[in-house]
Amino acid sequence: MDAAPPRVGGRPVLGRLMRSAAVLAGGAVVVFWVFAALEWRVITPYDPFAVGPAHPLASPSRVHWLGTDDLGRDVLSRVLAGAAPVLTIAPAATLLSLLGGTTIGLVAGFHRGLLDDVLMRLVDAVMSLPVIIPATVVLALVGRSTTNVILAIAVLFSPLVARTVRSAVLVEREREYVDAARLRGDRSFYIMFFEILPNVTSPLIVEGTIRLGYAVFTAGTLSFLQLGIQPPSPDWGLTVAVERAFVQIAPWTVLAPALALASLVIGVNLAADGVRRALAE
Amino acid sequence: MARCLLRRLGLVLPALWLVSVLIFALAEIVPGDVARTILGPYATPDQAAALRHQLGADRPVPVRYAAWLGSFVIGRWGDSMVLHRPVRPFVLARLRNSLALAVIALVCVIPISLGLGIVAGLNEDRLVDTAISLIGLSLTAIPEFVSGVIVLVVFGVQLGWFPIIAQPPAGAGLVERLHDLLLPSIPLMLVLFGYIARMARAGMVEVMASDYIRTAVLKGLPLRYVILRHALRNALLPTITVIGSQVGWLVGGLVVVETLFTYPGLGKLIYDSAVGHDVPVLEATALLVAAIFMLSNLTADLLVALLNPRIRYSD
Repeated sequence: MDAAPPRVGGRPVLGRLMRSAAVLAGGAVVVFWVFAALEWRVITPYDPFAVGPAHPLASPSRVHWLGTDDLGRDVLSRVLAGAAPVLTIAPAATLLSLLGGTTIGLVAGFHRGLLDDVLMRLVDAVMSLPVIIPATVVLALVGRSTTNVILAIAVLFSPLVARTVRSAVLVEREREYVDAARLRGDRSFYIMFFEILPNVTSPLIVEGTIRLGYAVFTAGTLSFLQLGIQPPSPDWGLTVAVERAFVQIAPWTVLAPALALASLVIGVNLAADGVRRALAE
Repeated sequence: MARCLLRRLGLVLPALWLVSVLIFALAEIVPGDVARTILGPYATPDQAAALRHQLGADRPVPVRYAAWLGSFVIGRWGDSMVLHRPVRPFVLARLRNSLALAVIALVCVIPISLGLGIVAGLNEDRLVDTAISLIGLSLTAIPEFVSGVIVLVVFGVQLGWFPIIAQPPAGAGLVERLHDLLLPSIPLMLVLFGYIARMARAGMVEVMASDYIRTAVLKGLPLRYVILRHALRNALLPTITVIGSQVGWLVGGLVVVETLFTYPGLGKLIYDSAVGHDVPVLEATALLVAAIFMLSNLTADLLVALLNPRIRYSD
C-alpha cells in the first residue's frame, strides 16, 4: 500500500482540470502561430516589409493596431509574419536532432561495448554545456546564417535524444522478439530500425516535443544575438534586438514580438506536458 | 571520498585544455581575420599583411598555440588584439561584474523556488501544486531576452523605477549597484525558478511517500517536525545537484541579459570577442566560463556528499 502524503483537505479534481485546460490552451496557441507562419501573406493587414517613411514609430492606433517600427513598417504584420522563421528553424533543428540522436542511441544501445562507452562519454560532455555559449562562439566564428543555426542546435541537441533512445533500447534489446529476430538471422540493421525502433516511439515522441520547446527557446535567443537570420526579416528575436534602441519612445516595437515568442514557447511547453502525461498513462 | 574528489579535479585540467584547443582551431579555420576586424574593409592587402605580421598572426598555427599556451599558464594572458589592452585585468573586472549579477539572481531565486517547490510537493496534484508547477514550467520556457524586454518596458520605461542600461558608475555604492542590477537579474531568476522548484517538488513528493515518513507520521510526530527534520534533508539532495548545474546555465543567460542591458560582463565579452575574432580575449573568457562551470558542478556534488552520509562514506 502506498503511504499517501498527509492531506489536510480538498481533492485534486480542480488541479487536474486546470492542467487539461492549460494543455488545450497551449495547443490552441501553437495552432494559431503555425497558421500565421503558413498563411501570413494572406492574413497580414499590410506588407510586413513595406517601409513607410511618413509615419515611423507611430503608436498603436486604428490604422496600425500595434503601431509601426522605426522604418514605418506595420508591427502587427511583422509579428504575424515573424512566426515563419522561428517555426521553420525550431522544427527543422528538432527533426535533425531526432534523426541523429535516434541513430546514435540505437547503435550505442544495441551494440554496447567500446562504441557505447565512447559515445556516451561524448554525450555527457556535450550535455553539460550551457548550449548558448558554444552556439554563440561557433556561430560568431564560423559564420551567421539560418542553416548554421539549425545545424548548431541539431548538433547540440542530438546527444540528449541519443541518451533517451539508448536507455529505451537497453530495455528492448533483452526482449524475446529481439532474440527471435536474431535466431531468424535478421541483420542487426534490420533489427535496430524495423524491430526495436517502432517499440521506442513513445519515449521518442515525448523527447521530440520537449526538444521542440527548447529549440524555440534557443532559436529565438540566437536570433536575438543576431547570429542567425539577418534584417529585414521580421523574425521575433531579431526584431527585439534591432528595435531595442527605440524602447523608450516606442516600446510596442519590442513588446509585440517578445510577447508573441513568449506565447509560442509557453504554448509548446504546455502542449508537450500534455503529450508526456497522455503517453505516460 | 578524497580520492574521488582528486580524480574529478584531475579531469578539469584536461577538459579546459581541450576547450582551449577547440577554440583556437575554430578561430583558425574560419575566414574571419583579426587584421580586417581592426582595419575595416577599406585597408589594402599590404596593410592587413603588415598588421598581421606585427600581431604575430602570420606564424603557423601550432607555433602560435604553443606560444599562447606557454604564457597563459604562467599568468600572462597577452593583449587584446582589438582593444590593445592587457587581457587579464580587463577580463577579471568583467568577471567581477558578472559574478555580482549572478549572485544577486541566485540569492533571490534559491529560497523562493525551494520554498514554493516544497509547498507544491506537499500539496501534490492540488490546485496550489498545479498553479506553481504550471507557472514554473511557463517561466522556465521563456527565453531571457523576452522576459528581459518585458520587465525593461514595464519597470524601466513605463514605471521608470530602474535604469534601462545597467552601467553603474565607477564609484557607485552598494545600494546604487543593486538598484542597477536588479532588473537584469530578473530574467535569470525566472529561468532558474522553474527548474529548481520542479526538482524540489519532485524530491518532496518522493520522500513524503516513503516508509520512514509514514512511520514518523503514524508515531504521532507533529507534521511540521516530520517535514523539517526528516523529509527536507533527503528531499533536497537532487535539487542541490540541479542548482550546481544551473549555475553553469546561468552563464548562457548572462550573454543574453548583458547584451540586452548593455552591462559590461563576461557574457557580453565572450560574445564580442567571438564576433571580433579577438582570440586572446576569447580564450581567456571561454576558459574562465568553462572553469566556473566545472567547479560549480563539482561543488554541488561535494555538498550532496556532505549532506548524505551514504555517499560520504562509500569510496
